[in-house]
Amino acid sequence: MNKPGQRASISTHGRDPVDDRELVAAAQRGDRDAFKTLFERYHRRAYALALGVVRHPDDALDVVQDAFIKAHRHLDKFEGSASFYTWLYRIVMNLAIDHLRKHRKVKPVELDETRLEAEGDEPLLPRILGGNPGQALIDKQIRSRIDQALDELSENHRAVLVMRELEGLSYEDMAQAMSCSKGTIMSRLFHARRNMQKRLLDLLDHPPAELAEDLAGTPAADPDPAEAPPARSLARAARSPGR
Amino acid sequence: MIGPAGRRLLIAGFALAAAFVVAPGAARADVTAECDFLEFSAKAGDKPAIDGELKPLEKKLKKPPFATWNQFKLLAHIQKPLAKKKPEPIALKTGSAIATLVEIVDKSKVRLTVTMNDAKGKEVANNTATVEAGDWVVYVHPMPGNEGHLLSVSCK
Amino acid sequence: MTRAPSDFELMEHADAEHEDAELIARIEHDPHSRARLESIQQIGELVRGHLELSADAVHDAKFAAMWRRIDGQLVAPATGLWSRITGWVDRYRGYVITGAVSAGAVAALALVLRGPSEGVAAHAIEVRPVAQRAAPEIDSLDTPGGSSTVISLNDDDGNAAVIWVTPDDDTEAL
Repeated sequence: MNKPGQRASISTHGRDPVDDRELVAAAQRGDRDAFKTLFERYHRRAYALALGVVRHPDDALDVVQDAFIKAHRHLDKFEGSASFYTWLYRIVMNLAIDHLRKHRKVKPVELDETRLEAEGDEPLLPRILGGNPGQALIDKQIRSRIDQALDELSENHRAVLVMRELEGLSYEDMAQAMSCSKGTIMSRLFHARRNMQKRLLDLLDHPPAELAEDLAGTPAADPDPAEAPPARSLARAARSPGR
Repeated sequence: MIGPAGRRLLIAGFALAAAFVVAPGAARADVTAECDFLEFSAKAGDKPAIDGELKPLEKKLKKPPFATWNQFKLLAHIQKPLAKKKPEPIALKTGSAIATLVEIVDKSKVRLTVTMNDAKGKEVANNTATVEAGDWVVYVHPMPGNEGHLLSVSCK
Repeated sequence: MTRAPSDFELMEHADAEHEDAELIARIEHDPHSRARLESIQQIGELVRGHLELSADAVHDAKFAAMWRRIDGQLVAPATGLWSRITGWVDRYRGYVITGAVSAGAVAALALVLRGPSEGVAAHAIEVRPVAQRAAPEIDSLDTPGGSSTVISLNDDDGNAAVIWVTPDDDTEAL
């Protein structure tokens, strides 16, 4: 397992910053190919970030597109003190949050951010999925539940969770990005994680009928072998002594 | 802008170029693709370790669902030219596989069929995939004790 | 007796915001704290992994189309050779298609007129730049005695289709 705060590096994201700077410099001089290379490097990463916040794939694509157009338009303001991606993700994040605000149908109910310490005494839920989250992700039902749990988070909680887990931002950086205090960030992150845990544990405690059949040993129909989730992995996870 | 004469010239140019390009290609009656088969094991350990020969896959092996493992050990690296529609046995350390080049879809893309068998000769997977040169198909077979047995195939 | 770390402390530790030897010792001595710490880390892995896999699953064509739309809105003049070529192809797409059809016909004629070939030559296929490659397509998949899941992974080393086979009898080795 990784040490706290560390993550298995996602090498697609690990870039030579000098290389990016050269591309940015070329793009600033009007070289579209250089900007296209930057796009090719970071579009999926930017998409993952946008999707985490806006939740709808088409909306996330729109956000990424707008972010690259905006980045290009303001390339002259990029001074290179941070990496290109750090600059880009801020644009993506701002556009994603703007998008949510524009398309918000119901005003979200926020938890009282000052309640952290009181609620912080409640225990976090114990380990989930048999200690094997990587493999759990091949299960469509688990991924669907992650989607559902992300959908159910408030916008602010989700934004903080995504910034932290996807980009590894510090509390301070997130506080700057969201124009709030570090304490508020910690509170949002705490609640976001706790709600995610609850939703995922709920899946194991109250599995859908299809999964319940599998847990009971009834073979499920397998209409499309290429797409069928290996529900047994979840069954194994549910039986895992790790829980 | 291109005028009518230019358009005709453009079309004729294409046709002539195709004749020059394709006609010599007709001599290549027996096309082959050079394919790499990497058989490796995976498990979780104290320190991350990825065999050097797995470098082309290293980034992917750090992503989920592989991220649950951090030690990847090469068991066999087999390089084989595959001729069209000729099944080639691939001798694995554990089990076996048969690979067939179904066709070269275009000059940078192949269609492959791979059949994997377990140590008892029982078929585990039979797959046909269309893959660009340099890209990979990775077959993963989870093993008891949170270990994995993997076979990766790439052609060029 | 040492005090068990609070959830708040565990979270700070998990996020590398609070590196303190005394706190680490308290976590290491308390199995419940270790489990809670692991739980926080697992949530992170699930969220990150899920979003990355979702991003990897988006078809290349969508991003290619996105780039065309972005490129159409960039204000700087196109200077690269590729931009000029693609711009030219876009402009004369109709003629290019007609030309390509004619080329096919001529090529087919050339093959017919040439007759059976005598030479046999090995032919290595061409590796295109990663950015121009399409993700692998699974044409058929059969996993007798087990289920399977196909996962698409893409990065700047290329694309991969991961075929995860889960045997019905998961104690059976390959």
